[in-house]
Amino acid sequence: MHSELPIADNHTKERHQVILPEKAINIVSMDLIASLGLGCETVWSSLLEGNCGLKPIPWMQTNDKQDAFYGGEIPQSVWEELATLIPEAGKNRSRDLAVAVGQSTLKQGRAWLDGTDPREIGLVLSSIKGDMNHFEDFRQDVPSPWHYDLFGFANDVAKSLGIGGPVLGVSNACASGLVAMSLAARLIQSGEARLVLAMGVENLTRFMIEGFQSIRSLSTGPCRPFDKTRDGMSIGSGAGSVLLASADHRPESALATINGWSCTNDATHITAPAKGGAGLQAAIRQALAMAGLQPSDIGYINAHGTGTVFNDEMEAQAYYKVFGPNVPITASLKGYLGHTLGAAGVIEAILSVMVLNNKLTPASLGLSELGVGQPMRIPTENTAIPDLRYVLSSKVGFGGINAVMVLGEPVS
Amino acid sequence: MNSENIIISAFGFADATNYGGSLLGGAIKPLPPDPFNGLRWETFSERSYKRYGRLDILTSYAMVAVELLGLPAFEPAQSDMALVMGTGKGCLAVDLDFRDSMDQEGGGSPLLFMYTLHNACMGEIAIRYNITGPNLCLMAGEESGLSAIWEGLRLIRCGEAASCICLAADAVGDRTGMHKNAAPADYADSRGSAHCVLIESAKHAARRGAKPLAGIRESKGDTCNATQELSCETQLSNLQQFLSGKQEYNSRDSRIELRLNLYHRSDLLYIDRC
Repeated sequence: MHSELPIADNHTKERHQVILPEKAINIVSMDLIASLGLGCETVWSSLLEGNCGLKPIPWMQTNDKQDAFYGGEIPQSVWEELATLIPEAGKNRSRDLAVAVGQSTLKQGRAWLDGTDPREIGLVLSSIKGDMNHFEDFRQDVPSPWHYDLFGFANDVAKSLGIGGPVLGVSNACASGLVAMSLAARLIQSGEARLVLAMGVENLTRFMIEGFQSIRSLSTGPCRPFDKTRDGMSIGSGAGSVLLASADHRPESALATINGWSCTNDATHITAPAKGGAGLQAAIRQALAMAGLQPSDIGYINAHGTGTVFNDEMEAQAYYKVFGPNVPITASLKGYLGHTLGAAGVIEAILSVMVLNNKLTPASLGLSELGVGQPMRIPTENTAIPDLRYVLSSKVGFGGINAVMVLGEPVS
Repeated sequence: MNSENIIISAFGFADATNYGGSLLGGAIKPLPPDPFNGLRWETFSERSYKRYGRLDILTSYAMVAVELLGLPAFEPAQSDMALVMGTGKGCLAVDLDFRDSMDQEGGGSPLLFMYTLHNACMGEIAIRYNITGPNLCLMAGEESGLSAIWEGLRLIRCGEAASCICLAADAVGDRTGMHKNAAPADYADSRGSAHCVLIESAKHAARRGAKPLAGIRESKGDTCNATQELSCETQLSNLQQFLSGKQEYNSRDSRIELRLNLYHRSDLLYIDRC
């Protein structure tokens, strides 16, 4: 009775189309909010000063642990500032973060928006679970759980920003942000949108803290990516957004280009990263192929670097296998901001653009002694990278997902 | 973007009343009474799957639909096969269960938490069939299923995948029945459903000897016509009927029209019988 299809032809794998630099998708404006403040420049300056946004947060206490966890919470001063910037602020913090970064990013990109029909502008919003502040309120049965989903949240944000094109939510665990950016790039490539705002939003909730504590992923202190004593991650709140445009639409100079991307699945385990990082290696190689680049062209890696024992070891192995002993300078930003989960891909891509444009990387905070099995070049102080032209950002998540993006200098 | 012809080469689905797909030679069968208890693996497939009992309801429906595609467990891994899932509410049932477990002694349940991540479902599918290509979980409300097909088309046309399992799955569970008044009609009376199609370029299908069931043509950016709206669930259900050759739907027509309404725009997929 069963009529199995013949095994698919795996030897005829289509080659990824190479995106020529002059045809790369442009990042034309961007903004972010995180535990270190509001705005790219504020956060960037704070990183260079070595400030850590992770603090013990009294309400971050789970049923099986009486000490408060460290987390990257948005400071009260930022919430107060947001209240002056966006209409109807204060009712829902996830929405406040999303509308604030979206509004600012669109404002900065107005040269690209001039004369564009709102129906040609799309929104791809990434988050692990969407508006969980809304869901937690449902404990009192008001409002109903039907309204907390990611798409409803994305639609609400799109309406607030006047976006009338395609709207999609993306939920791919901790890789969501980079997946959203690549989906946004495809919407432009396919001609379905002229401009797309790719956004990542995550506001700390007890639901997520309980969740990650239940699988013993949280650190006892501020996370220490790639360090010998690392013992888990710290979660953070944040939001970031980037406005993407096609290479043909260049009224002004862009901030950076998206030259290639890839997404793979380990297909080995739901929560544990694949030993040796085969899936991440494949994603890096495919993204480089799409960008038409060699490993030696990459001058900086924005690692996922969560501070968990297994993730950091897996990443170290994957980078070594792709790049060899000349692995580029590699840094994690989690020691400053914590893991902003579904927003991490977008926030860290924005900070990677800052690294690219300043040719300077902040130190990888939390590292005292390297604790992975492969040699890595992790900066313990702010380090200039004078010849930097391409940056690689990688994010890894539960469900076996690996996402990688190659960012480059804008084409003049 | 390449402009190759894209075809549907397999389908599978399970909802509150029926199941069917390419594994059954294209047949559609009634689900045994009591859908929740009737969702036993043995009902759908003779091939063993030991992890099935651990899965949450969303992943269970999704896994059944994908199994009914009739794909083997690939060896070597399928690095050029993508997996795109569209879901309206994701795993709302397990979200509620996990939230309750947070208040219990010892804290939240790790097994439940794992399945509160919408894409855990795709991870399970990737493991069972050894699919290592691109994987995305989209949320687009009632248009999630069709959005998944659209994203599959993009991935193939951009050269990121040679084929794609496009899956629509939702499972709200019986606990949310108390909120029926607030729920969209499609979800209120069903505990879950999953629909999927395998799409690939005609050339790729020919190379591996797969028989096309239908061809896909697309048209983008029409003005949205609210009077013609059908929910995604209904459209996908019609599509499965069409692919199975059932004559109850569109008996004189060899084409089905699926309308994706995202915001003010309406994109159309025309599926032509092969």
